[in-house]
Amino acid sequence: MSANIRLLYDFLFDDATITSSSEVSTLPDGNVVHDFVAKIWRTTGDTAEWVKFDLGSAKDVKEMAIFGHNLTSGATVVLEANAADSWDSPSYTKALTWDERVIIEFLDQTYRWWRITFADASNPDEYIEIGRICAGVYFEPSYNYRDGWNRERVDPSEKEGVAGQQVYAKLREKFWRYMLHFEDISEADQASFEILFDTIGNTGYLVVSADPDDHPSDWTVYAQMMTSLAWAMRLLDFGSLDVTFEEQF
Amino acid sequence: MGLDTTKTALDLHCLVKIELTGKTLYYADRNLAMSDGNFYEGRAKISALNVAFNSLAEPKQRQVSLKITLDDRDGALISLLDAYQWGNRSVGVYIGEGRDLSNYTLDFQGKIRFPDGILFDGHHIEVSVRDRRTYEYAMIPSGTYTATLYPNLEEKSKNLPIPIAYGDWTDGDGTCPAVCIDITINEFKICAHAIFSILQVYKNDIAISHTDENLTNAKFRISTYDPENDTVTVKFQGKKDAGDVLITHPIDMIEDMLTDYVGIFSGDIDNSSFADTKERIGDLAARRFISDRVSSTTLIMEVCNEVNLDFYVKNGKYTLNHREPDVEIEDTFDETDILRNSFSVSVDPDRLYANRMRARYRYHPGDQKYLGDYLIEDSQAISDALETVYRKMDFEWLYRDVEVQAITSRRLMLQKSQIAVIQVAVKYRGILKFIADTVGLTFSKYTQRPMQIREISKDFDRGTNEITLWDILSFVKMGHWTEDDPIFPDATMNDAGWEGSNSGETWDKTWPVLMKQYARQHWGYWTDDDGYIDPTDPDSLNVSLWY
Repeated sequence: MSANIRLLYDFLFDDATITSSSEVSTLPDGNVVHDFVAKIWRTTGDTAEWVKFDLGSAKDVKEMAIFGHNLTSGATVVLEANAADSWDSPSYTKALTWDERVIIEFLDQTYRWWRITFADASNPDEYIEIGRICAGVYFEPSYNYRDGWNRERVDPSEKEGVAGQQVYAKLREKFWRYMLHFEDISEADQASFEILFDTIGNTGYLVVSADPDDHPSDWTVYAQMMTSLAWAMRLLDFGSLDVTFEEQF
Repeated sequence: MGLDTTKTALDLHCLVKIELTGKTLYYADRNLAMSDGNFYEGRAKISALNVAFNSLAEPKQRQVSLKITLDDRDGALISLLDAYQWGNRSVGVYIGEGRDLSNYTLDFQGKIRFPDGILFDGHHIEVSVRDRRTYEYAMIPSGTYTATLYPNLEEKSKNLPIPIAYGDWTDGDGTCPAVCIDITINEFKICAHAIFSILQVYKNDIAISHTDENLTNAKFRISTYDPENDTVTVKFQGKKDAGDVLITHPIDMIEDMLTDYVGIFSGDIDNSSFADTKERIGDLAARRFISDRVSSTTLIMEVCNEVNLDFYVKNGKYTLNHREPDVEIEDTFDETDILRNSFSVSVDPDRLYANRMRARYRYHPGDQKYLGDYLIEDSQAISDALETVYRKMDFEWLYRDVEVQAITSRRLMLQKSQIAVIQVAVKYRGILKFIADTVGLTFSKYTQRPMQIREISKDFDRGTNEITLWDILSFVKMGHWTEDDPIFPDATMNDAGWEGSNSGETWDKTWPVLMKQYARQHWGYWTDDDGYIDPTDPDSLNVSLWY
């Protein structure tokens, strides 16, 4: 693990002008930047679909993540970027690695126009659904969280027993809870954490990538911060911080 | 496909669809993009839906009301309250699993209460929804005899309702009053609609001839009439159906009131339930001369009470069910379904017990009195109870001696039996159940015992269903009756598991209780006048005496 935790909360695509190849009118392409992952964009086909973002001016993108999709492992997903709205031979092209939970790419490219293409001819739904697309510049603290952090899988399903001991359950989607401890955080990083907290508080959303190098997909969650920003201050103004993130759908 | 309630774990959700004028709102207990292409915002929390029949003596469905609480902490909905009319707008509540709408069932349909249907604070909007039966009714009759309508109307009939007349008023001794709508030509009108026939006109109870008979407008004329001193009555046959056939069956009368007066579309009536119920209760004749304004709901409930029907709304449709249901069990609740400490049994909690009954029937609109009277009692029950407990029934629709007396006798049998009422709470296998459904119960002293659901309270949030059951075998439909000594097909008894020495073609009082129950349910028997079947078995005493 070389890179530290990355926290993306300033989502550049949210302010973009969004267009797409197709959409179901009640589930339009604008839903890809809605806070709720469950509020999806649904296409009408599954072989040549795309969604495009015009940022208005060239902007740096260091991370792009797709949550809540119905793509199969046979899908081809390509991230493209260009200075102009022209896609015959865009300046940046990257085929993305499929993952059932999150399709994520760390990069460092500055362009005005961004596009993601989808081809998934074997999709049993015969359409493509995308829940949330997040892109922007992440915050990576200089010191990573400490060893011994908790990565907890939670099943919120509700259970109720019957006379014969069997248990009935109301199923709910399992989610990840990350409980992290940071120590010796510098004043500069403390300031960055405070900007993050002022931006999202306990109600906004961020993308938490706990190990971007070794576990880019499986340790990345679309989450909310569940704790306050409670610094335990030490000598020389270094601070310690306990943070809990919970995955959101 | 529908919801698979046999699973022990369900991704259970509740969807709410609110149809405002020009805008449909979709809500759920969680954020869900459904297969219909709509996003159901996860704002809804629904109070438990309680659906119930009233007591045995009042078989109507209790009013259903439901509260839907919508989370509006982001303030997104409050502007909709001003932008749209919410009162009386349609609301559908669906229960099911996952994101595929085909796995969902419409469990409740109603309208937002108006007025006083919306309550909001800074965090939530609470929507009160009412059952369609509470607003779909009519006051019958609607027409009025006025001087504007009939310039030469007799003075004593001004502003009286123009009656509605169902059934055969030539049968027996009942007559109905007619109103002189033109004293210059002595023209009379019987009721507000076309009628089937006029048999005889009477003036001051003396048969007279009439002329200018007009069945379409229910009119006729007579030669002389003194509005101050004469009374004209008539024997006639009342309202016709669309095929010009006289309406005589009580089920047809319910349907006619719903469609013709309340304005219910035929598509909103569960026609198969009406047809099945009509077939099951068989030939039955009713009649009623409705001359005072009464709610259609009251009238329909009168019919249901007399004929032993349950009338309710299921899946958004008006539905009928005969109270003597099939004992065929589609589904059984046992110890794997029943939640801990939720099982209890009470006996006759509505205190309906009776051992003597009196029926008044065949109401005579002309004389304004009942012409029929029937008293029945069970001396053994009186002796057992050490007191006489008396109830009375007034029949406003049924009028024939045999039918009224049979129904009164059956009601006595029912009410003297002190019906057992069972309460249980079950999980998912109860979620799609509804009142009037028959389920089996295997718990405590019961084994595959047919029970009818009389009340169900569904907690959509927990997926728990509190159900009140009637032990229907204790008082109704003990079998398919035979008019002779019972004979039970050997092969079928064997198929049902009663093999070996216990199988046989004739009743044997040494059979196990369950075997007797099975035979009785599936083939039945008919007791003799002494109350026993042959060969005599104490278990058969009086169980079919009045059927």
